[in-house]
Amino acid sequence: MNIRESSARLVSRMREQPWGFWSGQIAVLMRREVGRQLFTRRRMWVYLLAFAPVLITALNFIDRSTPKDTAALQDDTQALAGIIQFYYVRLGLFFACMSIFTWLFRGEMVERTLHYSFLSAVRREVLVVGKFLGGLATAILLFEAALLGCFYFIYVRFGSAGSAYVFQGPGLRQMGAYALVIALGALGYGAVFLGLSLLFKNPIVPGALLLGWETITPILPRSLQMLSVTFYLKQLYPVRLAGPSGILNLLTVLPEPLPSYAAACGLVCFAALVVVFSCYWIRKTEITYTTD
Amino acid sequence: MAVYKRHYEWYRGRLTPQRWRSFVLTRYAIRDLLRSRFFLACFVLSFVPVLIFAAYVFIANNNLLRSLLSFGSMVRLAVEPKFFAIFLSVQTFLAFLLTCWAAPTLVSGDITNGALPLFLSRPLSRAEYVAGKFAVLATLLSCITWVPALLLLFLQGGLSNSRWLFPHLWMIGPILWCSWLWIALLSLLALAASAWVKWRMLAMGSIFGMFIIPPGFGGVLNATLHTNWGNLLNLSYIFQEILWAGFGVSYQGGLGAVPQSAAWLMLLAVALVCLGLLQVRLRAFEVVRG
Repeated sequence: MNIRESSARLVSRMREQPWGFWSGQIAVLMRREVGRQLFTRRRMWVYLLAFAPVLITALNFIDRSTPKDTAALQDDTQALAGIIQFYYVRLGLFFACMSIFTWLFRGEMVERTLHYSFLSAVRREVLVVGKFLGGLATAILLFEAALLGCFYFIYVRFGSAGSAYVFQGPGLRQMGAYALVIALGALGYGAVFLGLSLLFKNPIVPGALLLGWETITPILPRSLQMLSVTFYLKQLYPVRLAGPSGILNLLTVLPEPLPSYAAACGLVCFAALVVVFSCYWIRKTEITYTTD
Repeated sequence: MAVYKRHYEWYRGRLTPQRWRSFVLTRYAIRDLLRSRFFLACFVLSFVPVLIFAAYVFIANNNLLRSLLSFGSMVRLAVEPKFFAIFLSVQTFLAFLLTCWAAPTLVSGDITNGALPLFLSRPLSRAEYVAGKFAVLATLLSCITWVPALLLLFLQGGLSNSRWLFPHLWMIGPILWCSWLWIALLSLLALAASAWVKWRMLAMGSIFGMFIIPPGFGGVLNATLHTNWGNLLNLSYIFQEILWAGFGVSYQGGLGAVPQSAAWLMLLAVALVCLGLLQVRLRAFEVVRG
């Protein structure tokens, strides 16, 4: 059998699959997961993680509502960059994804409800993809809204200078870049936490190790750096932070720059690989509630 | 064989005196913790820095060894207050990691299994229950904080000339109160988390998060409001400030300093909030809704 025949066979086999049916199932699972993640009391602290900086920037807006000069505008642009690069990417998004994505399967295991999903007429791979996309939609929805809020409160107090910076200057482009960073961050962290939650009974310890890993990767060889989410995200930052001191410098240093498209594609491929691994792993997963 | 008749008898053994009864809980909880091989390994590993620091003290006081190890006479290995501040910084970090692992099941197990009404229906008050659980963490964390620090102090006193120890005896004070401050803070936070979060995984995450996430909020506050007061949300940082100030050494933490009084007030407020949370959660009855 030559390559052409085997590829034709593969294509015809792929066409035979019920993609429409699976997409419908994925949509249902996504909708259910978004509802479960967004509208429960247990998820209040994810809201806190996302919107606390918005409240603080709003406080700043109320406190000092007089228009400022260009230097102050640059200062606040740096402050916003710090909020996103230090707080959101390193902490807020990280811990929110830890909460959302480890709870997708491990949470159902703890609540002893996973067998309902496993017993229903849904392929396990479809279950993984549906739940993952639901978690991703939740994280993106919350954190993009928070980003918008921070952006608004940072620049609105500058009045016309602020709107000129956003609409005629680099502001809108920066916001787009940050929105991409947040979405890709949620994708990357989400995939990693999904994988960890399937591999480990208690994903908090590997999660803590991952936090350390994401911090120290700038001093590691490039091949190892590519195994971290922040390596790709750092390439997409539109504003370079002016000289964070000491150990904080580790969080922003960019050892080897990549083109933006390569960084974005790299992270998507990395996440896709982890999700594919999760799909493979879940086929072998057995429920043992007694040990969980 | 069917068992249809049982005779229950009054306990005739020796009764634990009233004031020591809370430590029965401590004894059993420590025994349960030490059954976990992972915890035992972590606990043993947390003594590795003690050995390293002890080796440093030994080398610093042994001229022959220093010359054999090719340390030049210009290299001065000093065992001064900074040495003890660094030692306690390392050990308090390890204490935090141990607490993250050990604390989550201390109270939550009793609550989820409905054991709390059973405990509190005996001659054991709520405060004694908390004291018993607190003593579990206090015992374990003492073993890796102030006890080895005092041993190092006396090791240095014994190895150096007789004039070293007496001028440095004041360091017993900061060693003890800084260690107990950290032990109290960690234990109260961990017990509160354990009482409110049912699942081990989440409780561990919340204890870990309490020391990681609020500093992030503090950083945002500092950046947007151009202030240093956000550092008050960084419990680890303010403890380090208190610790280093206790040894009379300035702390170079990379963040702006906050006044000592504010740092103390913050720690006190956190401790009070934790006690309040425990007060609300630990009750001799349970309301089941549904």
